Amino acid sequence: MPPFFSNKKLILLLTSLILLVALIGFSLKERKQLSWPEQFIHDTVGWFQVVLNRPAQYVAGFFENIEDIKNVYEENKTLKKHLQDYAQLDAKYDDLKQRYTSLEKQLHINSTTDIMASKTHIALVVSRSFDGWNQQLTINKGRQQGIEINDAVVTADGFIGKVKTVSQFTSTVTLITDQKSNNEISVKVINKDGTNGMIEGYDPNKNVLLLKKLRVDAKIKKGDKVVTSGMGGVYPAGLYIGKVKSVGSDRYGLSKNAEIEPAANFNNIDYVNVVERSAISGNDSEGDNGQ
Amino acid sequence: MKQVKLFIVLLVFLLLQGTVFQVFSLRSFGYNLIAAPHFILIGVLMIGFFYSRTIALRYALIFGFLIDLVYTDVWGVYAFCITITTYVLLLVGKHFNTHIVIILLTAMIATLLLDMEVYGIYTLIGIAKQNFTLYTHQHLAPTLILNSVFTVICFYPLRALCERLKES
Repeated sequence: MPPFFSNKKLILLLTSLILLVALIGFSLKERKQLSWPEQFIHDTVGWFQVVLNRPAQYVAGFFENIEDIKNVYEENKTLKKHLQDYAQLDAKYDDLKQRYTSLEKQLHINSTTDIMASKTHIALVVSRSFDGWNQQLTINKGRQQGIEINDAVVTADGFIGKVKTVSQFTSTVTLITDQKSNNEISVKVINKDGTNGMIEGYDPNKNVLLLKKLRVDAKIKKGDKVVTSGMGGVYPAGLYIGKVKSVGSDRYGLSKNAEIEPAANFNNIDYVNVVERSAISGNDSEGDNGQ
Repeated sequence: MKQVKLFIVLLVFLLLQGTVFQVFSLRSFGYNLIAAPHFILIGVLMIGFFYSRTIALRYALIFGFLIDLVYTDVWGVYAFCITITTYVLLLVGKHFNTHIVIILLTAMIATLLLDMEVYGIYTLIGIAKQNFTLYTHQHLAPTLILNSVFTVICFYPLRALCERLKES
């Protein structure tokens, strides 16, 4: 048997270790744009992924339908209950809307700041990182369809992440469950005093987002809704994230921490909405990298 | 040119990892467990055992890097880990015979090694933040089971393919 490591192999191993560290260092820094070989690989692989992903989604959808049929009776009961409240709510809504528009007119506010006015793209999720560490999706729309870096990504339930890289026909999305430290979101708690805070991480065991560094006197309680605040200029304001699950104080009692249960389900994502940033960046504090 | 078939097989494995096995992942059934499919590693190991070691190592590097590009945003981790795991196990496995049980054991050791290497490197960079005990329960055990099952399933077809390529 030859020696386990000959000199040549040892040198090769050390060189590749150095190369590994260099590559990691290079790829961890923020980059504005992918080089064309990367874009080519992303797009080619993405095309094949669509081909494999569609049948799998259909099969999964079939099993889901069977599950749904089981719950039809229960659902119908609760929906009927909701329907009774609906007429009331509708009338209230109309009344409020009228009042809102008239007040808006008096104050001469133009409604470009409205989140509903921003343009969204519906995209299909074609693949997902397979190890639990990277929380990354690939979607089947890219620069050609008008997606840009740092666009916010939502599902029907709520906010899930942002666009990380863009190729010509595909793009990758980093979820808010990603553990990387630069993945922070500035949020607002909808309560009486409108507390602002930062989401600084995710606890995969409890499935909660960690909202930290709130003021001690913040009147935040369980069940309060949390939305993006639009500060910092990365995400548009008013995207729904989830509800407060529990509130506690930090180790020294100087600030409050809260756990937020995300509204979106991160395990079964098949379609996403990409919210275009250019529609919002008009009223933001920074507008230089909107286009 | 003979190896186009091997390339296609590995490409399909690469795609399976991210598409089909994510639609039917344990998490989507409501378990808080992660079974990471390391199919490229298993495919490359079998090519090394039944076809050629140098070609296996070459593919390990190429497809490891493809995994890095497509599924992660840190380059080089999978390329390095898959290549070195394959290299070590092929070096040791040279002296074994190629019975299915031996291959299964080798593949299991390889899966363990690869997953722990990746966990180690990602912990160093700060991407993985999970303590080791929890990691072995939630991550390592399901991964090991999934990849063992996959090894058994693809053992005979891959061996047949490699032997046909060797003869021609």
